[in-house]
Amino acid sequence: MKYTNTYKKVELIISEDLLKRLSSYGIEQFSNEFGGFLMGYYSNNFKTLTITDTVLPKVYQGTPYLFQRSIKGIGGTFEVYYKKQPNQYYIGEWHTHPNGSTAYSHTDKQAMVNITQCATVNITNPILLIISINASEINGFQFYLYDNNELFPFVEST
Amino acid sequence: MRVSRKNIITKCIEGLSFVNLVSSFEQVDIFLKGKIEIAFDGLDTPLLFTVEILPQYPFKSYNEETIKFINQDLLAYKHVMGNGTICIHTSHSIHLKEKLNIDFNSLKNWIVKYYINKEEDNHYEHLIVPQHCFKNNKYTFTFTNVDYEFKKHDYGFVNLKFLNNGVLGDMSVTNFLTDSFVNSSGKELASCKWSLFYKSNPQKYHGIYIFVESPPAFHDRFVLLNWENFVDVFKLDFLKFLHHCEKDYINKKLKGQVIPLYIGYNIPNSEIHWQVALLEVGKFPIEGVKEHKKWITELTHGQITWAISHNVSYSYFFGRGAFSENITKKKILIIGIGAIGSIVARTLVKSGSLKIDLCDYDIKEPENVCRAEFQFANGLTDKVDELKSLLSLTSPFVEVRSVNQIYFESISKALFNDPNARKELEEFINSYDTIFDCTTDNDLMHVINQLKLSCDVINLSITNKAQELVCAFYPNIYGFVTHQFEKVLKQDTEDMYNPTGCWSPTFKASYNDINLLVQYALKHINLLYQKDLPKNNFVIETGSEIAFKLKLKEF
Amino acid sequence: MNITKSEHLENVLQTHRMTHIEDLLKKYREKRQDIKEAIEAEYSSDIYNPLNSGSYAKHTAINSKFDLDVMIPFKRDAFMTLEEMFNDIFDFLQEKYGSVAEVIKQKVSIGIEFYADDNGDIISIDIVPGRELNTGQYEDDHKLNLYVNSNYGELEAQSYIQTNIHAQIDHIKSKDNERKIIRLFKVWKTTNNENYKSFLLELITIKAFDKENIKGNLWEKLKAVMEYIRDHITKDNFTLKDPGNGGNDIADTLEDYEKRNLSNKMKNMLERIEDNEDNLKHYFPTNPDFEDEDKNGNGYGKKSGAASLFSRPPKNERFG
Repeated sequence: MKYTNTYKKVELIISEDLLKRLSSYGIEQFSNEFGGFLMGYYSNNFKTLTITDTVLPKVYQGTPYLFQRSIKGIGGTFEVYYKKQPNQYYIGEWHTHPNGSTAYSHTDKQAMVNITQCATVNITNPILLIISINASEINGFQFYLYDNNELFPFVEST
Repeated sequence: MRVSRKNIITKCIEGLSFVNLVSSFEQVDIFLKGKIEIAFDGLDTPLLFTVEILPQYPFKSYNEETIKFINQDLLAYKHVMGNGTICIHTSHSIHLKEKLNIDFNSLKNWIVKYYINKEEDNHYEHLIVPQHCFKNNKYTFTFTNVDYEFKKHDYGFVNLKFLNNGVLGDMSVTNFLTDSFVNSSGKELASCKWSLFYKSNPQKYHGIYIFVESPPAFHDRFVLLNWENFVDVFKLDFLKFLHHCEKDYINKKLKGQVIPLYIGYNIPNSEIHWQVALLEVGKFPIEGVKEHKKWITELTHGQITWAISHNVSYSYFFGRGAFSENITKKKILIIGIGAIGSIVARTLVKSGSLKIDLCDYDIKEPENVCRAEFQFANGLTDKVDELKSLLSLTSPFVEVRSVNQIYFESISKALFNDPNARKELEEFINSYDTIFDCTTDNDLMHVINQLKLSCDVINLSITNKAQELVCAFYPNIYGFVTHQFEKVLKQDTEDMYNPTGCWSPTFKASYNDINLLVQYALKHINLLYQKDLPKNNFVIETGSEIAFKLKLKEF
Repeated sequence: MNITKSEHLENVLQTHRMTHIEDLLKKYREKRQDIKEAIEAEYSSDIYNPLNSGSYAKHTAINSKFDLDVMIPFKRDAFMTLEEMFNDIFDFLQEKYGSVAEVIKQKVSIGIEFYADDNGDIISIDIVPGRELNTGQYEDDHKLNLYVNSNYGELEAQSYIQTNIHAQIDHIKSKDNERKIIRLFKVWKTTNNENYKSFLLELITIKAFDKENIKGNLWEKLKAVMEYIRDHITKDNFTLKDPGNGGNDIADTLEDYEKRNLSNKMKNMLERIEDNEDNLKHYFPTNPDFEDEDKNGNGYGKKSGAASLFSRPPKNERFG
């Protein structure tokens, strides 16, 4: 599946399987929020991002309205992905909104600001994926591109 | 007691081994005058000299030595003046004894070189000609080399142009330009190479010429002084011609007027030189003599009145220094003749340029005078008009024309996108070899940079307070200049000169500030042309601190 | 300068990318295809497959000035002489395209410059005919003799020149760093109206990377190559072998004074950039046509100065 961000003129590719997997992890934790790290690689011209996988946190805390994750115990995993062919990077975060909308909250946006300001992060446009779920299935999802204190939604490519 | 100057001099001269004092030094007028004899091994018979020492000695006066060694018998030798004074080339000293020693040794050197060894100099010196006056007025006649080969005994008329009246020492002087040479029936043979400005001067005069081939001189160095010396030189038909001329002048009521007689002869390097004698109508040095029952014309005796003549051909006029021919021979257009453009124009003309066109729509006002090459005395005039005349007055060789500025203000801009107008503009600009754009008009700069040009365009501008000069060459002008002014050079655009009643502020800088930068730039540009180096854009940075350095930064 | 020299140079490369002119390139490719097909139809068994050459094929093209080159490898017995070959293909192209384009004999190629289309775009394609050295040999060694058109400019000492486009393309293959510098030099050359041949700048850049230990960010690499040119081009024994023809020394195409001028130019540029970083923008400007587009169009961003995109997420983060 291919999505376009018209603001930055970039594209994002994700397989239906991966998206389904993310949803199923979220549904397992219903009615609490849950999420994880998005992994992927960029095309040579940095115009297309292919999301390949997710890394799940080992240490986390989820409530119906809040999700807090840590990288404790999984720090080395990012190097492992980086050494794969093609090199895969940490490119953003995903989390669920149980019975909620796919709109981002102020807390979500602040998290993205923190991420880009973090010294160990070298990307300036991390992806935020919000998946709306209910107890049994996915209601909808929305990808956002973060750029300079703002989040810009992706639309499905035609 | 102080030892007298006379004694010091006498004692010093007596101490010189090759000098014998013949009669002791005495004060005569302002001179110390004495006689000496020079004798040394290699000189067969001793030589006698009168020595005259001026009170200024050992200092020079009027750039001449103040000691004179005189011997009238030595006129035939090189470097002897008409009164027998030996021209010694000597060194500077402010110490009397040392200077005497130097000067007497110089005299000895002259004797060895020119009296004993009779050395010939490669360097040709003009004949020594006394500067006479005619009715308390001196006359000068300047000429250039011409493209014509005169033959011995050619004679005819010389057309003259009046240049000006002035003062020469305690006398008035009238200066003439030689315009052309025509034969006795009025056909033009040769024309001197002055610019149209002088050629079109309506104040015409004329004279007579004769080409005598060999220098009219005795001892190869002194011009003949009496008409009788020309008896073998002037042929009968020339004397007849003189006679007819005089008769004609008298008929025209010109009696008592001066008529110059040009006497031409060959000098080295295939050049000819003209000495000009002044004839008075009614007193021409000729007389009618009856020979075999026929009247013929003969030369009379009498002193010749010599005027001053001067070859000011281009190569002599600019002999002391000029720009490379790669600049001076080019057809140049200067657009914008404010401070920068007028200094460029004047410098090019002073450095030998031959063809310069000027373009500017602006009017010269008194405020422009302080830093541009304009003069207050001319009042409010078109800048082009005033500079044109100023440049023509400076060099007799430059052709200066004004260019209709409509090309640059109207055609170039209004019709820029019209291909035909553009083509016309390109053709016009390409009719020049080199263009100096000194307008600081960014729009024009853009327009010119867009054209397809085969000529050189040089853009010159300076920042406020003349901190920097920016020079750019086509086709790298617009982008470079705007980038330098907007991004690189830290220009103070606030502190401009904006006096009461002025509608458009201008940059602050004096004539000295601007001229310094423009001259540096022109020197560099001259080098680029002279050595055919790549024309890289450059910026000259100056400073205002003591011992500042000018830095030329090439891009 | 608000951004670093390297960031600026990255922008320069970015705004000069060929991808910005996809639509125009498409027209070029169509025209090129059309010409190729016409030539194949005309010469069928006399030629081997035409191949794309030039900067576009070498991935060193910039969008502000480029053309597409096509090499036509003729078989040995197609023509008696190289001149005949050159004239024959010129006549054919003139006949075929003369009414819609300016067809011009150039030094080793035939330029086809189509008249401006409705959008004002002018497409120009260069056709480079070459002939194999001996019958059937091209398939083994890819060597071709090109005709040197001596009517063009000054009289050439040589009437033909040997080349090998495959070898030239191989020479620059997978040399990303070199290609970036070469593209920067092309930007410099184009915007500053410098006459140095691209091929010369290409070879000298590759040689600099080969001989010197060139590393660091983009500016440091460019600087190192400029220093290499400044210090070496004027040396007596300095050569630049054409990878397509070892006997052809490209350094020889410059007169001594031209080498001095090039060395001097590099010196001036290095000094001026050292004086003031903003001078870098004069020598290597971005392509203003694509600046706005690129403000947000550089793709996913990387922090300036970061060696790679590798990121480790912040320790704890909270989402709502």
